[in-house]
Amino acid sequence: MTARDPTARHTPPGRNRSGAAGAVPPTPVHVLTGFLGAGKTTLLNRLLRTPELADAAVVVNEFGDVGIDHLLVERSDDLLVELPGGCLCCVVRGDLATTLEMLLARRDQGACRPFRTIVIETSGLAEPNPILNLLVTDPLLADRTMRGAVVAVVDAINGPATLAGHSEAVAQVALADRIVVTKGDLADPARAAQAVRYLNPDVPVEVLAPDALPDAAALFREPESGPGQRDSTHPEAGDARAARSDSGALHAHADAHAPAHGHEHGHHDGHLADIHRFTIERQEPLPAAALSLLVETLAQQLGANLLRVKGLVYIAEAGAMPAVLHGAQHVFHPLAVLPAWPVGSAPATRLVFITRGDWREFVVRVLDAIVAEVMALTAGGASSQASGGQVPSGPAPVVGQGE
Amino acid sequence: MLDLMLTGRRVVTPEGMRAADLGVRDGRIIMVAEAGALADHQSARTIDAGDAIVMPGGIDPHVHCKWPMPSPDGGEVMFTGPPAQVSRAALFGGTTTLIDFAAWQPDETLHECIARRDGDWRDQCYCDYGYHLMLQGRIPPAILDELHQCIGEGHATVKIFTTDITPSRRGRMVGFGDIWEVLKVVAGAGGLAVIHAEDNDIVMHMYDKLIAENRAHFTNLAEVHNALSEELSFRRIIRLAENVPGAALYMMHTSAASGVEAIAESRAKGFPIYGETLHQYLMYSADDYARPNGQIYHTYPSLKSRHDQAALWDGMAGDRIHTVATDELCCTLAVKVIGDRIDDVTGGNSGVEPRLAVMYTEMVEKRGWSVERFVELVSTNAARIMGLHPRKGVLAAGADADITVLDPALARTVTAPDLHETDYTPWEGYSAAIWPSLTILRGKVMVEGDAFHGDLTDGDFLPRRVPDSVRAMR
Repeated sequence: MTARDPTARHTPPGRNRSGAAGAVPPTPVHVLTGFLGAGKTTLLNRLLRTPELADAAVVVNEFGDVGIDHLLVERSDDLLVELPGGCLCCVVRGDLATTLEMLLARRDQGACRPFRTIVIETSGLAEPNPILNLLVTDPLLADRTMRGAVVAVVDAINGPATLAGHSEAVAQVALADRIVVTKGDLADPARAAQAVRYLNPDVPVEVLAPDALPDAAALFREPESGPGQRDSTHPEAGDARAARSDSGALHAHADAHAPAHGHEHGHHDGHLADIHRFTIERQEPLPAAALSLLVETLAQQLGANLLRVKGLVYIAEAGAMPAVLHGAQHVFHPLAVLPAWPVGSAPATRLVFITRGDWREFVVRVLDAIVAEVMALTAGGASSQASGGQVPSGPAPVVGQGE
Repeated sequence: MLDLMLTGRRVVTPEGMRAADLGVRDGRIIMVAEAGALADHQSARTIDAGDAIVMPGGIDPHVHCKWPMPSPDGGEVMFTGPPAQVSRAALFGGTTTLIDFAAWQPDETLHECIARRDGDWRDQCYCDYGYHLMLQGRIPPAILDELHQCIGEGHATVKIFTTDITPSRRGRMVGFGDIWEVLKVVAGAGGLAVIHAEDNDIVMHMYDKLIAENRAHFTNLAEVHNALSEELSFRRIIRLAENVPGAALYMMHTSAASGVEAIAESRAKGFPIYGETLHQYLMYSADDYARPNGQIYHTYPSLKSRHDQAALWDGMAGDRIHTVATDELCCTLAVKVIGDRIDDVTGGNSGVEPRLAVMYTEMVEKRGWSVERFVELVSTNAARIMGLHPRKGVLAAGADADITVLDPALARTVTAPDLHETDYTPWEGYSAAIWPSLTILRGKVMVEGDAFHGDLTDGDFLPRRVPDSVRAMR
């Protein structure tokens, strides 16, 4: 369909590019996260020995974390160990970017078994966002890797309290593509599942039976929200499911036919009490410039208070190309593009926001102001598109939130 | 259906440099998408930039095209290179927007001045352009009234000299009383004052002194246009502007540590003041006047010491200096070196084409600065400050599709015959680590490798409005 101009390719001499003959497709990188004590390491320990992860390279902070020291394995060096089942285990030295580049280089040189996926285990307090961002901004990693799944482990006993007390845990869950709830035999997992659904309504949640292992292949698989694939975690689908659900967890009243703004703010404790989820819809297409200004304003004004925004954007100049906006805090990713609008729904913009603090009014006013200004400037013709409009002020800072 | 789809692994977006696809239609970027996201959508043309840097087109906010040059012997007035010549060279160098000057003469209205300048530019420029309104001498009240109107009509910036620069350029300087009135009008109209600040008393005194002492050779220029003059003049006009509610300043060709310091102190108080420097000030110092044809490195005020140069670099790193311009003046080597005295050296600099490549090499390659920072200093900041953002200066949905691709594979030694400006370059022999391979203006491929595809009618005049966020107290 597209004629690529062969003379326009610019490849620096001597650089080993994946675009060369025998091209290796980008390696999916999955992130396993979860708060301290949630059972993440225990889970990983067991997953490492399953055949499904035999073709993976797992990146951990210390070998001791995953009980490698107890194994009688032949170590080629201090950095990389091959487990009996075939899974590779790698330790972070220096920074993560260097470690991942080392891993890929070893594979290129045939100095280790050719793994097909990478799983990064984060430390308990780490938020997944910086890792995801690294995969996109580091030139080498952006070329050789692709984003896989973010899997968050939540434990049934402490999960709700953890989410209430620690903003890092909230970020981990909000960004997750899949959730595993552990210790379901020791406490009712419904409370943890409820807290999770509040932060991330569409996410598949698997409550782990006591001695069961999740299917590693299903767990560490690219989430179904990439371009060209049906988005089963699409906000519309998720909200529709939630609306039909009588679990008592959420009552999303997103009305697809009117520009109503469903707003969730349930009865939760601590940090969760300050988490707001709302949907912004527009039937009229947005000018492309309005989208850029909206993203810039959200990053500047909400910053860390924007846990996540995700959804479809109906861009006026690109009507037939539905764009998927995905952002968290200051980081907005380049748009994904679907081949067509989801069957049965008219083109529309529909963005689901998860924020700390009640930013719904602000976002509505800002979007209206931006669209009005861009339309006026376009209609005005001779005037330049200067971003000079007054930005409405945000909600008052929440006391006790802490930074 | 897209007009153009450009994919690359190093696309500089407002969120940072990353792999991305750019979708272009009707001269604008309509989408910045994930790399590969637009591969299957119909496009009239697809370009794969590979590992080359994909950035918003460069913006040079300080050039002088078809500018009358004082003739050293008082004879016939010559003109600097016209927009056609300079804009073509600019595009070869990856710069897609130039901001020049419309110089008001005392016997005309401002609208007549603008119309006159339009006559030099319209349908005679390959890239997009605008003008700072340049005021000189005594400013009659009628002009002040008209100034307010002109700012509202899209001429957002007003240039003022606080000095005549040389004894032969008398009449350029605007007195402080008039400057005060102008600043009030500009503030009220929502514009920005752009200043060539020097202490005229110090400068003219030094001219008298050096000439009397028979030390008038141009190698002494830094003694005349000295760091003390910059310190006094910057601080004086900054203090004046800080006392005019709503005023904002842009200090042109900052050359000394004292200038950077004055800007820093004012910014620390929250005053909206921005600093510009020139790429030749970043690369050369007064020592270079002693080189053969040393005039080619000179632009008024003057090159200064290495210590001052270091302060300019620190200033860029520390949010005191925001833009790198050229003060472009395109003329032949013969004209550039015809004057060899402190009072007759031809000013300006022939540098619009190598600006991006040279600054990338100095900033990113040699100093390890981020590519994003480089792009801010040569494009994005100028767009914001001069009222061109978000139309220019960013690769974002809704922006004009002004796209430059800088390719490390085209690294080269700079030499005048390979450039498109004139018969000399101050950067003769410079080893540039990168060079533009592609320049796109509002969706049209203007330069591709060595081929030029532009038409003289391609360039548009850009009406500008400085946003409140730039003019407001910080």
